[in-house]
Amino acid sequence: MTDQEPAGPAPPLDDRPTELEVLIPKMLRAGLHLSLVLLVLGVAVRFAAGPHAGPPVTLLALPQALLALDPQGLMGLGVLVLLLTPIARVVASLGYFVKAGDRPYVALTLIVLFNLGLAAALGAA
Amino acid sequence: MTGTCGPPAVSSAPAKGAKRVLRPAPPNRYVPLRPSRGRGRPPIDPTLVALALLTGSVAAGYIGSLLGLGGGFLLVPLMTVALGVDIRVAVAVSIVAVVATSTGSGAASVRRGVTNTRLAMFLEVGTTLGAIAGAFVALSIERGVLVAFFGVALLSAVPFMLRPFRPPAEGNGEGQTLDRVLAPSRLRLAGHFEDATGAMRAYGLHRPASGFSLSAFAGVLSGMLGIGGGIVKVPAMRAVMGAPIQVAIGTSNFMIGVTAAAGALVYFSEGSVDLVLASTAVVGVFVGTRYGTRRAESARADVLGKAFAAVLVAMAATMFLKAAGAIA
Repeated sequence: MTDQEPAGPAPPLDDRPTELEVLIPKMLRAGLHLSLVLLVLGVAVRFAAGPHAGPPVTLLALPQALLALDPQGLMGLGVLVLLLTPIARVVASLGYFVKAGDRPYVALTLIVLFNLGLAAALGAA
Repeated sequence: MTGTCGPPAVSSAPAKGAKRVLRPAPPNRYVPLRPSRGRGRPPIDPTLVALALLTGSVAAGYIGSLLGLGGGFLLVPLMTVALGVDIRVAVAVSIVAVVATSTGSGAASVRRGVTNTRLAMFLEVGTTLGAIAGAFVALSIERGVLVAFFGVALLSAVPFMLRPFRPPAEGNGEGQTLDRVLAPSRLRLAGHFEDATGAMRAYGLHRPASGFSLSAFAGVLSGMLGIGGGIVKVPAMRAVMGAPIQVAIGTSNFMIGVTAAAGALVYFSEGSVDLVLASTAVVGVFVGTRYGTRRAESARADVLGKAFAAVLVAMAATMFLKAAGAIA
């Protein structure tokens, strides 16, 4: 009963992080476009270079592949940039919640970031 | 060259006289991924696979963003059934492509003002953890089981999409302790959005704990099946929490990127992501999403729900045939 908000009166309209609404689409699009350029370049180089046999490049092996000028390195970098794009959005939200002094959401955002780090660590383990 | 060596001989016999201690069985080690198992039929030319995947992922991105999904629900059946890709590679590739879909459609949803940032962050705590767990489940279980599970997951979302939202019944506080502790007013989850007519509509949200649990489950499905998890997240926000369908789809699009990134990080670190297939799929879904999101603005909620249900049934049937061995 008490866990429901009244449907009638409008909730406060200043509750929305409008700064984020401007910043986030720009960030998401920039990251996506950069990763697309890297992925297309990587695929082009890979097919131009001919058949390639070998295990897929992992996150940890990415620097090595890039140094060795392996086309997989370029594609791997594209994938990494792509995965970092929504993560960057979470970091931007963290900045917003810190600035707004919104402690519960600072905590929730930190947990989300921790989970993302955990994913990479557990996958590599 | 000479540095490689086989696994040492296993000597697991307990030392004499050692006291036997009962321990829980060790967890199953997941099987390292083998991109080609040579089962069923001869492998298709990689260039052809990439080209077919490019075309298919354009369609997946288009339909996915139209329905508030990540597109993975089409990509995985396409890769496993039509192109003969190993289900685990398909899941890993799909989840990377799903990040791209969500990034594109999520950006558009934020710009249109139909996302709820707080709601997204709150639910993402559950979805990211779920995605990690799901990815490890997918790496551990039999491939056939994974394919069949994909079919079950698709089918189970159908009734949700056909059922209209019913507000929570009066006086049902019992058994909802968590929902009361996590009072929506405390979490400040309420929001407003501009509807199709340009009018501002305010909305409140109900049952955050139930929404959270369902989102965590959506995360498991996302990491396990390489899908966005919108099949659970959209109904969870719409039917359980009471968000308007536009907000449910918009916030789901927005959340899927982070959820899928968690699953994708597991697969990428583990070495399951076929980079050529992933790159091709990402480019394809990017193109498809651009058109799908534009089209979604003028789509009607009830038509979306029915279209969504029909696509789910078709995909589920295909996956069951695959699991049963009727399709190579």
